Amino acid sequence: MVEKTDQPDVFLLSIAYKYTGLLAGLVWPLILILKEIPPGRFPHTFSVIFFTVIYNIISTKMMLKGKLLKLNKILAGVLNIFFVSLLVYYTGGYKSNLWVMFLLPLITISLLYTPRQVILAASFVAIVFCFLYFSQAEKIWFEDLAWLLLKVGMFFVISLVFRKIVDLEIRHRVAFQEKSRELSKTQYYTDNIVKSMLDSLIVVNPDGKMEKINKAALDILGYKEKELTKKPVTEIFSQKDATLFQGSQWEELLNKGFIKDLELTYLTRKGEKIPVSLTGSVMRDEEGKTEAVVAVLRDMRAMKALISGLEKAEREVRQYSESLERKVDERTKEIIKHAHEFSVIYEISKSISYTLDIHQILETIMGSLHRLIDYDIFASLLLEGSEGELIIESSHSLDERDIQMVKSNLASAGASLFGRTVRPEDIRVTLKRERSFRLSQEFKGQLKSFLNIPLSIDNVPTGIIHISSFSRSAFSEDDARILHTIADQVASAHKKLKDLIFKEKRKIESMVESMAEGVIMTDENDNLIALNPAARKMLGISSEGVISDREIWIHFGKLKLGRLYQRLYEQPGDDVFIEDLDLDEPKPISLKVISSLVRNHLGERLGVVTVLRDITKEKEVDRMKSDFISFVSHELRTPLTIVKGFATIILGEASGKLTREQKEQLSYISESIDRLSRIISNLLDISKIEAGKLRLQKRNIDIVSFINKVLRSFRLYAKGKGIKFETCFDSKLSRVLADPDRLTQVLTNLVDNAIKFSGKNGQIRIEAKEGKDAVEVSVADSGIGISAENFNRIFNKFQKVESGIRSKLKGTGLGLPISKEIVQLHGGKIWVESEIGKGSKFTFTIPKQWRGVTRYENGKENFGH
Amino acid sequence: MKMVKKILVIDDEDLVVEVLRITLGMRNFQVITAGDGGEGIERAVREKPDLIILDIAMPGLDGYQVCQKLKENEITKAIPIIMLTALGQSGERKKGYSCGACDYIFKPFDEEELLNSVERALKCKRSPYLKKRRNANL
Repeated sequence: MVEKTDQPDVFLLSIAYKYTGLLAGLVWPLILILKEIPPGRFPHTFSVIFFTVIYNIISTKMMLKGKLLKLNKILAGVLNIFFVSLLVYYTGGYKSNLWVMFLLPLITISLLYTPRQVILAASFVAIVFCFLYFSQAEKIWFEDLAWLLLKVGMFFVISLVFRKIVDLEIRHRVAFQEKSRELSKTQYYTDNIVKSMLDSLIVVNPDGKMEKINKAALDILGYKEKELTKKPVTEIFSQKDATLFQGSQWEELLNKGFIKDLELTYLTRKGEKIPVSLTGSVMRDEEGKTEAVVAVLRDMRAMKALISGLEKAEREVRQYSESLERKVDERTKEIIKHAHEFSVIYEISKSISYTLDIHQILETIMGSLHRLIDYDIFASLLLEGSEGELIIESSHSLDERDIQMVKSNLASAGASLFGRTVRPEDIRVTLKRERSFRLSQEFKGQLKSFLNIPLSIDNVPTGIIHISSFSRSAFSEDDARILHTIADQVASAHKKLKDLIFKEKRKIESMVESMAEGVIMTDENDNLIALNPAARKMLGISSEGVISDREIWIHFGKLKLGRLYQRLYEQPGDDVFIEDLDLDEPKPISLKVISSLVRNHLGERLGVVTVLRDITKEKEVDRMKSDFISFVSHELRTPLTIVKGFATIILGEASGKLTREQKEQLSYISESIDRLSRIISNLLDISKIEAGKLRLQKRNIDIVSFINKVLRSFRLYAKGKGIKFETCFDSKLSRVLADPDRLTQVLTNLVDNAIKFSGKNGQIRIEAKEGKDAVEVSVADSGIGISAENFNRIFNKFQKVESGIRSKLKGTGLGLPISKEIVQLHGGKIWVESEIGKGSKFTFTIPKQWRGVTRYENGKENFGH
Repeated sequence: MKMVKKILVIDDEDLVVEVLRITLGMRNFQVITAGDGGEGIERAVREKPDLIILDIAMPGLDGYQVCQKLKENEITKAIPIIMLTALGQSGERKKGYSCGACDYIFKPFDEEELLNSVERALKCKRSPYLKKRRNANL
């Protein structure tokens, strides 16, 4: 449709006007003819002529651009001229001319818009006609109405038909226009490319004349465009190149169709010669006729310079890399050699760092040195005073002459290196065979080369390292240097190690000597290394003089110490042994003996370190404590038993009738004794708990009968205070696993407290409930109560709540801490709920029979064991 | 007629002995006494009591040693023994049972407690421990 294109309005209007013009030209004279109007001249005729002619000129001009519609245009023009002639002929001043003119723009609009808009326009036309009709003087209804319908209908049909035609044409035009726009774009690009090319571009026609020359070409040649256009191309090339554009060569080029990388020479306006490279192709039209030759010419000056520069650079690089390679090779060889030397020297120095034995050090050197230096004999002379020890190693058997030679060589070396004379006859010789040495080819002959290096340790000349060979000049400066390095390494490593060991030894020795604990150290062969003064004193070994290991071991055997060592050796995997040892001699002493095996990093046994600690005093204190506890228990409890016994006897009226008062007073005595007895028990318990000595003897207990039993013991006491017990037990209660004595203690403490704090005529409620893992027992009183901030304090040792009334009440304050300990030892919990003035409720849990304490270990509380 | 049971009380504390004598006497027990371990063993052998109440802490032979000796003696070994202790340590209880005692009473004791213990002990002529020990020896 029309509105789907994005054509400019002017373009659409031109099309619309073309067709409306045609329509006008058709309709207008037709009406005049039908009305039989005689030909005449009217002013508005000119406007019609003007409109049609002007329109035709403009639209023809526009249409000529598109060849496709040429025919259509001519036809339209011819028809137009025909209609306009008729119009001119018939035009008269009839009223209908007015509305025809009026309709023209409406039809124009209707051509441009949708059918709906066309209908709208038609309706508008109908209204206009109606208006015209009613403004007429004479009205012939029927006829006029028929006319009106005919006119509107015609308008409508004509509009639609013309619309269709316009649509078609627009589509053609749009296609054409797009194509031409594409062409002009390509043209534009091409022009720009040509313009911006740095290379020369010359278009030559088949006659050899230049058609087009781009800016680059003009710049390089120094001409202006018009100076060269249509001139023979030979003008811009040197004489010898001119032949290319003439005769057979030119023909050949035209036939071939292209030419590539042809080297030519420009001849500029100033006569300068510039080398260029030509690439060209022949342009042909559709019939294959040659149209032109397009030649691209590249300025080769820069390129030539570049190439020669590159060649030079390449030569230089090649030379440089050759020399570099040579250097790298040399250096690599050197580095490899050094690395090898270092690795061997490092190996030697590493192994000598672990030993102080000079023989071992020399052996290490021998083992590695032949990897660095080729030699046939390795010898070392160790000087001991005026004597010497010579060790000779060789891969093959040496005759006496060779040995003598080495000997005298080393003797004289010793003299010259250290200024000490060692007579060859004072040198002991040891011969060793070492197969890993190389075999010199001339080994049968005499020793021809040798190298002696002095070896000094702690600045004392210690020996000489000697290597010799059967080859002539076998050793280089480098070999001497290596041997020197090794000798230095040996010396410094030896010194460092010795210093270190000495220092450590002194440190340990002074530490051990000054320790208050006795220390006995033995080596892997049970030789005594250390026995410090403290140990001597403890074991009764004289601190004066040296005693043999044998004596010591005999002594140890007497003291049962030897037995400990025996056990330490016999029990694999157990490197530490701790035992208490009581000695009677020289004086009674208790020792804690801690023996441990000492191993090196490989796990080999190096010896045993035994530490003796005098625990006589600790034991004494411990014993005193138990004695004291026994004393307190026995000495206090026995009189209590007597007092209580007699009080009970008197109460039982065995020795005569008592008054009510006497009975009451006696029962107070009895109760107080019970309390006193409990206090003593509590004190003992606390000391036991502190020492971790409280042990439980657990049994299965039926909690109900257990509680009843405890309550029975309080019967009298409670009765005296007018206190009532109320019990409430779950119908089904599991048996618990507990120490009955200890559990009695807990419950007794709670009930005792409840009675104590309940006051006269109180009530105490004892409950037992079945919990998930434990049985819950609670004792609730109707007493004075405890404030919340004291909940934790009452379970702490020696804490008593400092509330007015309570502070007057008696008790050790130990009952609850002990109860807490006991409950926790059982794996249970204890807590209190209370409100001041309303009473307190103490609750504790005891795990059921099948439960162990261990399950509670991960709980919030640490119960201790 | 119910036989009057004879109970031997061995304790170095005269007053404790006296308390026990009166308390048990009131319950129609015949009470004989001994002031130390040696005398106690002697009387036990001679009088063959139905029950022995034995104090642990005594000069000379202590309660354990006396108990052990009585249990080793053919004549007295079947007599149930109640240990009387002022110490009340669990370890001692174990020690007492291991030498053949059938019950323990802690000082200071209740009358009720004492009588319960005595009645129990008289019922079991042979302590369960002894049977066990015999089995172990076989």
